[in-house]
Amino acid sequence: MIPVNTIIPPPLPSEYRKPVSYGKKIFMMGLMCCVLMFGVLAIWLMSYSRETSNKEVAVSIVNQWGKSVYIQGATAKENLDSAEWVRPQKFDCKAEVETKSLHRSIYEAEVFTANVNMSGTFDRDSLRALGDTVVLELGVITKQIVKLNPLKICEQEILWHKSDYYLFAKVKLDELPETIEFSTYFEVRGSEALFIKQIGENSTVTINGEASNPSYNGYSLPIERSLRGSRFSAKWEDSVPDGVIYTDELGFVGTNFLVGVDRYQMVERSMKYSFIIIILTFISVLFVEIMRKQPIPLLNYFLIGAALIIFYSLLLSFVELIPFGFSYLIASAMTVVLITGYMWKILQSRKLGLSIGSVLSLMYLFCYIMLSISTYALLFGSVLLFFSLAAMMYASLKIKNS
Amino acid sequence: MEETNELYREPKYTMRWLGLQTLYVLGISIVLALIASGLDGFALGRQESGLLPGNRYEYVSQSITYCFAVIAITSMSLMLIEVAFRKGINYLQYGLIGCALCLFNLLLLAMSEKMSFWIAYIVVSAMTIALVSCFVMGLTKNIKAAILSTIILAVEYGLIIVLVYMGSMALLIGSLSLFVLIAVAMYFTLKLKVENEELVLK
Repeated sequence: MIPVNTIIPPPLPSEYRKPVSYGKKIFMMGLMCCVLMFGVLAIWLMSYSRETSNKEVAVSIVNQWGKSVYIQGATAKENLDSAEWVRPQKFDCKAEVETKSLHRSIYEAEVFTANVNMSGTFDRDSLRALGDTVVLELGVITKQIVKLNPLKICEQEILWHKSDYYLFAKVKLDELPETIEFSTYFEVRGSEALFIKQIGENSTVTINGEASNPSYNGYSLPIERSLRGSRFSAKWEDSVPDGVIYTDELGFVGTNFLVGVDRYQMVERSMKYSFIIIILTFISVLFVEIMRKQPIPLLNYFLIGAALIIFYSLLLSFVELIPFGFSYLIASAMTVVLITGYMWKILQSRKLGLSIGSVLSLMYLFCYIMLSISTYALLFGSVLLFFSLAAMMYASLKIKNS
Repeated sequence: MEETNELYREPKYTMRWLGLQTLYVLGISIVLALIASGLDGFALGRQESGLLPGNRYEYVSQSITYCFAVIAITSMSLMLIEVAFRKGINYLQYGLIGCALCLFNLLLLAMSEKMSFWIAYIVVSAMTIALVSCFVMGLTKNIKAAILSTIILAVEYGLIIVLVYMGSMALLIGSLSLFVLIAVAMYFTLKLKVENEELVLK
């Protein structure tokens, strides 16, 4: 006796396939894309929080190396405590900046060493007004100085004395000529910023060196500047009318440097293209499905989408260890190989698997190009979208309506 | 007549079943993960009142963040075990297994107050693995299924303690293991065949 609930029609013959409703499928795929974007959002949040913690660690690394460098001087005074000071007639300061990055496990911070060459002249008569012996003062945080040459005054060498925030040297004015020439050289470690005060009546300040992204700042903008690759150079000139005295904040000119590294920004920018990559991959798989008349379940689409999202997680984790280009290459190669192998096995066709793989690698290549050319990215991207639309139209011509 | 009954059995493991089951599993994972994140606040309170010494709170809190992944992965592999060994596991039983995996976090918090973190972790994970695999043994009456679930759980918990102790390298290892997980899932979907509307693992 057969129980009532087990009376089932016999299974359909195997040649018969239930027709797939593509409208419903495309709708479900769109829904799935939105769900997958939550994964991208999660990775973006992770990248953001790692960027924040990286900045904090970068600041602590940088503080051990040396903070911003402000160079003020040299000026002449009667003694260290007196408020009155005399500026040099001519003041010329050249700083050569070498940047390097410090690593602590996965964290990275940009710091610099500046070689400062300073020279100028004082008028003997205006110094005489202060007394027979004057003190030359040079304001810079002495803890950050790594190499210090003695002060040279008219071929005569005088050793600098160090205090916490300035260097000083006593100079006897006897036997010195009318215009007193002075020069000195020191190396200072720092980060974030290098500023030099235009202290003389006529001042020239030159800063050059290598840095990833210097921005000029301060009392005035440079009169000459150049940027060739990562090599920059900037020159300021200023002359002070008689009687004008800059207060402490004014008169400083120099550059700011980036402390953190922009690798997280690159990852976040590449995430902007995740939606379009997922959509285009789904559409190309759908075309293959329609042309081969072989149904691919939505589960498989979901796995492909998940693999495309894990690409960003991989990229984020690699980029902390190796440069962005290499990590992009490795992460995209891993993803492309995985999806190509999967499509090959699903469709039982090497040709189709490889063609999906080549479409994917083209997309990743174009994304990389768009990341590297920031100014033309919009133009390039929209032209690419135009061509991908044309390719889709061409592919849809091959679908015969039956 | 008995033979006809056997032949024309209504297919249980259909694509539709797979979809519904996945949704259900994700649902209970989300609910239990929310409960576990409540435990995180509880652990913070215990640390502030001085009951959780040292940096054990950091470790407990980090292992709680992986709760969702553990429940989801374990339940999905149970679905595969169900299809492979043809033994039904009902919704309530899935829920119970999820609860056991969620309770792991509470036990871990309680144990690590009394002993150092890694000893507590080993004890608690051994307890949880033993409970879940005995339950699977009881459900499926199949020693292979029980051993399989033991291995899956042991790998998950082993990976989590590595991630907890790795600190800054955790992201790299985590995303590589996600990649491997996706590859394994892809492999199983290739083995999953539909025969007469019935899912078969080949």
